Amino acid sequence: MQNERQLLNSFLSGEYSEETEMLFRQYEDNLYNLCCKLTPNKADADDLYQQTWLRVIQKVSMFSQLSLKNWLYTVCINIYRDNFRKSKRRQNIMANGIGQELYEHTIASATDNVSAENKAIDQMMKKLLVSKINEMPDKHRLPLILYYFEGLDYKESANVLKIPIGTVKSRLNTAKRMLREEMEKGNHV
Amino acid sequence: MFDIEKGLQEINTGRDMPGEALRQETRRMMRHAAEGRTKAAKKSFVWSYRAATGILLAILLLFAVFPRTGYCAAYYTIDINPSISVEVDRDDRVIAVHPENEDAAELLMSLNIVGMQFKEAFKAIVQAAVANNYLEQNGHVLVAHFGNTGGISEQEIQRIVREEANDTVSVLMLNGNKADFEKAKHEGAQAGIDLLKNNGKAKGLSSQDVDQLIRLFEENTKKSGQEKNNGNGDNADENKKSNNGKKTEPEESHGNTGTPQNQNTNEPDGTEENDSNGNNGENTDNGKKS
Repeated sequence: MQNERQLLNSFLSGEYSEETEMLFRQYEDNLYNLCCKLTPNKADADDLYQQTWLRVIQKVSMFSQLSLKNWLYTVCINIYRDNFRKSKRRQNIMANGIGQELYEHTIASATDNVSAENKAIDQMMKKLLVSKINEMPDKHRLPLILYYFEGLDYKESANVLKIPIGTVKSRLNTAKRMLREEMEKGNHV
Repeated sequence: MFDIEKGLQEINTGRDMPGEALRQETRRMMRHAAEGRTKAAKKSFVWSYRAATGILLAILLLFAVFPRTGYCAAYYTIDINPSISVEVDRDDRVIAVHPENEDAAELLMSLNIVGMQFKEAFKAIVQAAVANNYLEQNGHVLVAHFGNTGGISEQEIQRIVREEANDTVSVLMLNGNKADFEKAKHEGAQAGIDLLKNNGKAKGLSSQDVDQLIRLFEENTKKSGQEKNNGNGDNADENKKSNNGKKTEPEESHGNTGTPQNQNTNEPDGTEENDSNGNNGENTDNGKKS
C-alpha cells in the first residue's frame, strides 16, 4: 500500500490508479465541506475547492505532513485568507433582526405540544448560533470551524492554522465567550 | 439557558458534498496541472543543464583568457650585479622582469624568461651573468623573495649557482613580504639591498659583513651607472662588463677601464695583474668575507 505522498507523486508522473482515486475521494468531501463553511455561497465554495486541489498538485513537493487531510485544510485556509476573506461571506447568515421571524416560523411549523415547541426553540437557537459564528472574525471563527464542525483536535487545528496549541485553546475559549455574550445581548440565552 | 458548549457540539450544519460534475471537472484540472508540471519540470531541467554548461564554459573561458599567471603573487630581486627584479604568479611563474640598472638591461636583452618557472629563469640569468663575465670567482649573489608563501628555496638557489658558476660564489637568500618590496620601490631604493640592511643579522651575518656586502652591491651599482654614462664605443661596453665582473672580484675593478688587460680580467689568474692596480684592497676583502 503506497502512502499518500507516493500516490500524489504517481499522479504527478501520469499514473492514475484506483488507489489515487480512492485517496481523492477520501478527502474531497471533507474539503468541500470546509469550503462551504468558509465561503458565503456555493460558487465561491466550488472555486475554493478547485483552487485548493490545484495548489496541492502544484506544491506537492511541500507536502511533508503526515496527513493529506490536514495539508488540504492548510492549503484551503491559506487560499481562503488570500482570496476570499474580503468577499462578502455574510450573505447566507441570519442577522439578529430575523431571529424573531425565524422563531415564529419554526413555532408555526411545529406541532402544538410543548416538546415540539422546545425542539423548535432549540433548533432556532442553534441556527442563531451558527449565524453568530459566521459573524465572528476569522481569528476566532476558523478554530471553531475546524474544532467543532470538522472534528479536528487541538493539535491538528494548530497544524492547519500554523499557530501553537495553546493559542488554539485560548481562541476557542475567547470565541465561546464572545458567542455567549452575543447570545445574551439578544436575550436568546 | 442555552449551553454554548453543548450547542456547538450538537450543531449539525449538514455535510456539503461536491457534485459529480465538480468532482470530474476538478480531477480533469488536476491532471492537466500535473502534466503541465511534469513538462515544466523537464523543461526546467533542460534549461538548468544548459545554464550549468554555459556557466562552466564561461568559467573555462575566463581562465583561458585571464590565466592565473596574470596576478603578481610575489617578487624576486637578484643582485649580482646586474640587479634584476622579477614578478611571479602564485605558481612561481615569471610574469614580468624589470632591470634595475644598465647592466641588467643589457643582460636581459638577450634573455626571454617571461613564462618560465622562476627556478628556470634564475638559472638562465646566472648562465647569462657567467657568460657575460658578471659573475666570476668569489662573486656574490643576493636573491630576495618578497611574498607571503612559497618561493624557491635557498638550497635550490645555491645548487643552481654552484652548477652554473662555481663553488667560490657566495649566495645569500633573504625572504621578505610584498609590502617590503613595494615600500622600497616607492622610496627609490633597491629592495634586495634594503632587505639585507634590515634582515641581514637574522641570517647570521655580523653587522660588519652586512655593511660590507651592502657597500659592495651599492658600489657596483654606482660603477655600472657611471660606466654607462662614460661609455663610448665597443671598448666601453667591454670595460663595463669587466668592471661588473669586478663586483664579484673587487680587486679587479679599478684602473682597468678601457685597457687591453681588461680582457684578461675574466681569467681566474688575472687577479695578480689587477692587484697591481692598487686601490681596491678593501673591496677584495669585502668579497672574501661575504
